[in-house]
Amino acid sequence: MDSIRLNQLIEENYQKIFLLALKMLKNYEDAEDATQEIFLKVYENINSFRQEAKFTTWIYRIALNHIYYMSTKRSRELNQFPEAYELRTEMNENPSSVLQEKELFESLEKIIDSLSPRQKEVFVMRYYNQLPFKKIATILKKKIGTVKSNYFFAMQKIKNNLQDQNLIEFQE
Amino acid sequence: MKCINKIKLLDYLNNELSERKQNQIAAHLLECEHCRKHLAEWKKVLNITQQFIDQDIKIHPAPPHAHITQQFGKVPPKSDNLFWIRYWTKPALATVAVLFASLMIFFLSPRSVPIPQENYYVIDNVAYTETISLSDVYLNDLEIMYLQEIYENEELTDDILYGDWLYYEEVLNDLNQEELEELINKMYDNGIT
Repeated sequence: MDSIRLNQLIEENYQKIFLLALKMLKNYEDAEDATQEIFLKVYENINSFRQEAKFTTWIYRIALNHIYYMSTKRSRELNQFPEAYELRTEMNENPSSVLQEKELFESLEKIIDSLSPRQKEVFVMRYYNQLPFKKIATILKKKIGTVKSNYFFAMQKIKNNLQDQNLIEFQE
Repeated sequence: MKCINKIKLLDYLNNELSERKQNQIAAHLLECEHCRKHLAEWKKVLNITQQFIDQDIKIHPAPPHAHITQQFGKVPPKSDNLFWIRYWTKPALATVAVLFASLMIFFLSPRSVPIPQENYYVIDNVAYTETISLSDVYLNDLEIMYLQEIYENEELTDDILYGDWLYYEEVLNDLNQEELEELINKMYDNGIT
């Protein structure tokens, strides 16, 4: 693979992998480091990429392995979960709805953080990385049904939590 | 049509189903208020989630990474000369494991040990000839076998017991275990084989 094509692929995938790392590791600096290390790994091992899988699938596999490696390493070092990173919410024009929206989004942030790792990786790949279920299934080496049910349970959890906290109202 | 299950409903909202299935569900939704209510709820949840994620992605742009791509030229990527090793490690290890296991089975399995000559006992009759080792465990079985032989084979019994079978049968029936053993010992001593 020539270096121009490689650079292009990295350009395309950098933010996506960063978001995946950010959501899984819940820490901005760690995510930044992880993303750098992941892409260095991709570059170093580019010769062992044998076109058996697509390039993006290969990158995502490396990324997930590295993220899990980092999270176990970090939890061993800290022996506890670090605080969730600060939410940087952009202010809206309308001040009355701003507070509501901020509250809603902060809660959503917490709910997404509370998902199980399996549910979260599917959720993040689906929404943040905009991958189709089929691709997610290939990356995780799972059946598409399993991936879909992980996604469903994640959404169910989000829905129930929003409902419990009265952040969403449904018409009777 | 039955009510749509929730996973299917989410698939419908995400446009994940085949066109026929999408149409089927759309038709069902026209009739069923219950499913329509569920659909509206899920739509709301998905909308809110999508809004949140759009904003989240917007406020988390990719961190600067030009320095990484610059590094690429400086350090050459690892050459993949370990390719063959990687591909052959597993099959080679499996072969070694199988060989090792079969060798262990061969060496550790119980095998017949040659019996010293004096422990052989030879049954040598007109009917058949057999060489049996007289280990302690085997002796008991041999006695039982021998008695059965006497009972079952008249010609043999005549040979062994000098033709007076009926008499010996009566005697044998009256004997208890110990006396039987004694008789057998005597028979061995007398060279009745």
